[in-house]
Amino acid sequence: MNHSSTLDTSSHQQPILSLQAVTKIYDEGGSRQTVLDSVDLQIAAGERLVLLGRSGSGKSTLLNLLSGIDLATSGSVRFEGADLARLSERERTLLRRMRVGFVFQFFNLIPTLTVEENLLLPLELAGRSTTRESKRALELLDRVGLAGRRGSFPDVLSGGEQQRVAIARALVHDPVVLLADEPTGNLDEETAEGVLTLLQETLAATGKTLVMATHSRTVAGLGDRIVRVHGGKLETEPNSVTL
Amino acid sequence: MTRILRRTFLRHLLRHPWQTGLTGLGVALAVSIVVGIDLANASAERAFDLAIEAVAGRTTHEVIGGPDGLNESLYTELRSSGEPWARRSAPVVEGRISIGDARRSLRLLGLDPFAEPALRDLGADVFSVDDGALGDLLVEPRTVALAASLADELGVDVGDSLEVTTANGTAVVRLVSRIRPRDELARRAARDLLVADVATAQELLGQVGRLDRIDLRLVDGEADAIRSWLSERSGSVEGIEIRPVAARSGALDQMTRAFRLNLEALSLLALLVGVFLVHNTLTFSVVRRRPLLGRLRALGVQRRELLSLVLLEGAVLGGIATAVGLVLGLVLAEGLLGLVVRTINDLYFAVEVQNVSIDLRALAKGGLLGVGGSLLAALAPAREATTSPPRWALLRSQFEQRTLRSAPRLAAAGLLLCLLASALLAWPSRSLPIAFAAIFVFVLGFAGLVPAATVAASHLATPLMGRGAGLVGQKILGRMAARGVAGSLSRTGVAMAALTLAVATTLGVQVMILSFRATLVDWLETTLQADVYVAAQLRSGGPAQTLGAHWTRVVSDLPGVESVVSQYRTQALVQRADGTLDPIPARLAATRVDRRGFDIFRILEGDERGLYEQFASGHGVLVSEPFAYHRDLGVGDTIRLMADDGVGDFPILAVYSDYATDRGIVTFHRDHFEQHFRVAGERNHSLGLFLASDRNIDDFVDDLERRLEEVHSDRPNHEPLPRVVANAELKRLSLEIFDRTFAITGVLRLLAIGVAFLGVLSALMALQLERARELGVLRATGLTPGQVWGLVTLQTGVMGSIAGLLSLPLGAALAALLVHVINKRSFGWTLAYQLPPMALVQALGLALVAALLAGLYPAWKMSRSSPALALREE
Repeated sequence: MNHSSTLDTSSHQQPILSLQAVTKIYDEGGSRQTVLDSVDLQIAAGERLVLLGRSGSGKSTLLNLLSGIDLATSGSVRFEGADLARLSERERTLLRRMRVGFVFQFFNLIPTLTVEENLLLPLELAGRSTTRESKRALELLDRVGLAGRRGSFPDVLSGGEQQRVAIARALVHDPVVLLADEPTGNLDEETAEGVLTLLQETLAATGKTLVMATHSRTVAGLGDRIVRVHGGKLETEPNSVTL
Repeated sequence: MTRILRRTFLRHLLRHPWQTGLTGLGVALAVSIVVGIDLANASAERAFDLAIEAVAGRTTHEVIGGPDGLNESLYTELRSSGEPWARRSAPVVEGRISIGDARRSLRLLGLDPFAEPALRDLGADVFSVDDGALGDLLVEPRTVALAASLADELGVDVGDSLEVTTANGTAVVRLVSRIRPRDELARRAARDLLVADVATAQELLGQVGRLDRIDLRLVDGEADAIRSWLSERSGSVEGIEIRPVAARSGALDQMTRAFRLNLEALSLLALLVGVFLVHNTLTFSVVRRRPLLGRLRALGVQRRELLSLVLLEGAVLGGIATAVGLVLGLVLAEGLLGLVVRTINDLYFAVEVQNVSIDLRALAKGGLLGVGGSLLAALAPAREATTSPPRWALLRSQFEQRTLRSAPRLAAAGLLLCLLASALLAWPSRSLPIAFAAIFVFVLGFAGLVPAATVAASHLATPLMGRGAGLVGQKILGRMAARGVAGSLSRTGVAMAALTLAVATTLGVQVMILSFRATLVDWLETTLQADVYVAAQLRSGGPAQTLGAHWTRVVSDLPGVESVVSQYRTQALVQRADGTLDPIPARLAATRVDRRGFDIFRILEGDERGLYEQFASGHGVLVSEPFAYHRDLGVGDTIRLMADDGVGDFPILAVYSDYATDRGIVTFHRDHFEQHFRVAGERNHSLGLFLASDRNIDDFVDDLERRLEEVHSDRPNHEPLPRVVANAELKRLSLEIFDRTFAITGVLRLLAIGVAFLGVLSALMALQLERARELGVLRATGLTPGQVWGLVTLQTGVMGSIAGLLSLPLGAALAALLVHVINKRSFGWTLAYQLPPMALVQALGLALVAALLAGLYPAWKMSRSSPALALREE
């Protein structure tokens, strides 16, 4: 096991995401809680990295920092070389809009939009709601097996169906990085397996970078590399495949 | 119910201070409006009653005559009759005067100090006047006594002179005593009182030899003895009546009942919006805590306990807000008092009220309405809380589905209420409370239609909004904004009902006022046909001054005057069919009018052919519409009036349209009037001059004013210089009074909108609070803070637009009810309903602006909130 908190990719490729001496402290009602303590991490393009840890270990915080949803208390987070702390709120949002796809544990589909509209939302935000793109979105919906439910609202879908829509939504605008936060945490075993297979197939087909947070060792098997998040530190598991 | 359970619920209120605060403020404001109006009304009424009670002393009955009062010889005769009751009688002369530079209006009370001890005992009972001063009052002419506090206020001391203005002109009196009221009640009663000897009062008020009444303290059976004593003197004392004093004190109540009821109804509408607010907040807070409620149920908490907990929450919130509302109500009453008193002075009679008197009934009513309304509003959410299944989370979407499904049922119930309201209105009755009840039921019924209408409107708006937003490449966001309104119906429904209601009320009242104003303008065009008017100096609340006969001659002699219409006004008591006296005297107008001037009467009922001839030859009288309506009289009926020559029956020749007073007017031809009523000299209150067509009005006014000043400076008496008003100016002044009368309505409208605004703000904040995660996801997906702001604002815009559109039919219907039902039943006026398109546009704009303003802060807050935090909280 690598006990260093500096986790490098061993490839010669430029890392698409990197964390350098990143610390994140939450100030909650006067008490300071250090969630991440001076951690380093580099993720290569095309890598499938799994953040493994117990609830509250800081996995979601790490995903938020990587996507620029949240900012580190100290240290730097770089996305394709750009220091996120140096970007404005708007620039970080636009970067997320164009380059990142998100899959959440609770699916988080917009309840007032139909399946199709949920899928088209990122395209519209990216200013790419052309007929060609819309057609591609429907193909994606077909690929996740929900073309027949395009006009339905999320509340009539099962959990598995909702997560499949969420995965399609995360990929529809062709992001370079897919961030998944416990994507199967709210699903039964069988449904979870189906969702993971879908995720695996999609990544294999597109070669996108995946950073996935999970507490499940089984789910962690999807990754090329497994990084344990524990006590504010990161540890790469020895049997991980490093690109 | 355990302490921990109670704590769980009450802590929820503290954890959402903004939400709780806004709702509390809304309820507090609503309660304060009700209490403020009640206190202002009660204070005016109390001041009036106090003024009567304080000077009534131990008086039980009074002997009264026609408008000209009683001949004082009657009192002399009564005193010397040797009857035991005669020793317990005292003469009274009463009138209004104004005093000082600020022209403060006061009551002048002329009493006989020798007779007083049997009734009022001025030395020791209600007021304390120096005994020596009583002698001065009696012996020295033109001496008066007034309250020490009032003397200080006017800056006068014993021995100082005061200039007073009466109906007959100005006079100088000397202060010989300061009244020292013994207690608070007497102090308040004495605040606008000036006491003088009968002779001084007679002289000042221009009624030498006449008394207004004779006060009596009678024991059982003596009233009949006096009645027979009076009847023995028939001929010389015809038309003189004896009545209990209590009949007088209800006069204000009766005269201003409709006015007060209208204000109260408006304030209750504001409270209704406040109740919606509590309902909205509690519903939301219950909905948000469904998982918690489910968990509590799983832990074994009973439905009954949950019901009590939510009701307790409503009671605590309502209780605190009501307490604040009562305090705010006291403050508001101070502000409203001036407006209420001014309207009473403009429209009814002079009453001087300085301070708000604390009326426990008004406070109790406000308290009961605030807490009771809050509890009522909490009932539905409390029931909702008990239906939470014992599993910890029912999906919100399922709950919304259920709310959506219940919308048609609610609409059906609303429709039934509207039908019930229609039935109540169709009921052949003149009852004002029933009319108001019908309006409330109608408004509630319409509120029930709002959720279903919102869903329909949201569905219609979705493609439109999508298309509109699509122009800037944001089609889906546009659809989201529209769909979100129906998608969160459990929260938006009540807020929109509250906003719809408040805007509709505003629109309804505005259209009513506009209709009234337009009717008035039209009526003024008919009534004010003379080119120039001349009147004595007038001030509302002060004495109504008259013009001596010489002024009529002066104006008639000026070149260019073709004809003159004169008017003299007074009051007389009306005898009902059962022989009792109506406590509200009828207003009488005696007019000398030729055929041309007769056109000022717009006849509503009666044959116009030959009408003028019948009127001029004294065959009968004309009555105004309110007079006929309130007394259920028509052409051919007769009115029995207490005239100066005795009780007389006067046939009604026609009913005419008149908006000058809701008490109504009986109009006589002057010659006919003088056959039955005494007028000292050819006095008039106003003169209308018709000019030759080639006479320039401005030039004429200049000539007339010059001439009047010449005459005024030549005359040694203290008659004031008459005032000259051109037709256009008089119309402007009339409309000014109208606008002033409705100033209080404007204030109430604004306050009601304020309550609704708080409701929408509170609902939107609640909504955004709950949508935090959804908005967090949108931010994670790439929505910029500006786009989040835009989305929330767009949604509030949709809400405002829908509420605005829904308020249009409700507002128009409310206006129609106010114009055709409430106004008719309250004041007896027929108004022409007018619905100007601009009022509709304004209402729509008001709803939109209120919603957008209310949405600004939540939108800003949501756009600034951290998506990481929102996502973390999942």
